[in-house]
Amino acid sequence: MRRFIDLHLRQPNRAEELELMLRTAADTGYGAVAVAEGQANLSRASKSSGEIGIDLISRVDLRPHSDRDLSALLSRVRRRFEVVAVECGSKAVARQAAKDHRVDILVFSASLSTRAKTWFDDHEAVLAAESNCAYEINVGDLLLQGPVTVAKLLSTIRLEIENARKHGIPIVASSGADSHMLMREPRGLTALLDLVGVDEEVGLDMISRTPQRIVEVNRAKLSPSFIAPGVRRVG
Amino acid sequence: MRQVRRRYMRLRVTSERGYTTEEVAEAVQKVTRHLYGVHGLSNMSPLLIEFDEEKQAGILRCSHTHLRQMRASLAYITSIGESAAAITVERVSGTIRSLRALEKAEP
Repeated sequence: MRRFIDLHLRQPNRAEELELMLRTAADTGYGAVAVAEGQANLSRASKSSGEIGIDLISRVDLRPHSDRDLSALLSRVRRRFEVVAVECGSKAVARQAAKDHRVDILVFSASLSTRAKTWFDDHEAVLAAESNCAYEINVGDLLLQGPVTVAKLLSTIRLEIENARKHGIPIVASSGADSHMLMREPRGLTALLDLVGVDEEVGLDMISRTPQRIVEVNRAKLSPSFIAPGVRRVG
Repeated sequence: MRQVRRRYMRLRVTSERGYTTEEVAEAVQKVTRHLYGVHGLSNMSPLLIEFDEEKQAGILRCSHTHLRQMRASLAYITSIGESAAAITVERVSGTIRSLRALEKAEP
């Protein structure tokens, strides 16, 4: 049986809202969620996630200004979070993020002007294939935009998916929600991927097997018994 | 003539306010037309069979070949009228009877 994971919830302003989001996730069939790091609320969220019975994954979204900035940020956060995502605001950052083994997920802007300059192009996909980075689709980005923006965003995402598939890049689909009203049940979320030509089974993998693999690998790396890839202390 | 196969979905509306059956039915039609056009709307032929205004839950019927597009349309809803809303599909069944039976069986 699949275990559904929403790998990207944004932190809302209110702590109560975050609890509500965790409850909504559990009620709609998610087994785990990743909440992007914010200033507060996470310790409270981790307490309530235990009560609700949902696995809480720690995630950080980096927004570096330059490629050098990215390297500095990565060395600071890599050992602290289970999932490290980079929001690629510029071409230089996107290229560096795709090359760096410490990055798990590449995220691209929902703003059309930024996306026109920085998107998951073929060259980006080649680099990401070597470092095993995943490409993320935030379905929530499609929900609150006007029809013209959505139409343009959909055609960009379609091209990006094609590039990812061509080079065997794992694709993760997430809600990117910052309120419970923007969260969707697993099959509803994957149904929206129909708009970018993703089949149901493939879409379900994007919210179950692919994120599960990323989390498992990173949890193993963060465990005290981890020494190096393939080497683990047993005694 | 071969009978058209259908799917029945039990859905729930989440919002700060309550909606009438007409408001929900209109929102479903509107969003389907917005996403898939008139052709898509006619293929899916969504029909809100019943809606409990107290529980804000109901049953929607659609064509079985377009179930995924119907789900996408419902997931795309972020507001009904002027207020924020979300529609969650709780269950899907091939017959309305089994959907009701499942509903009764649940705690």
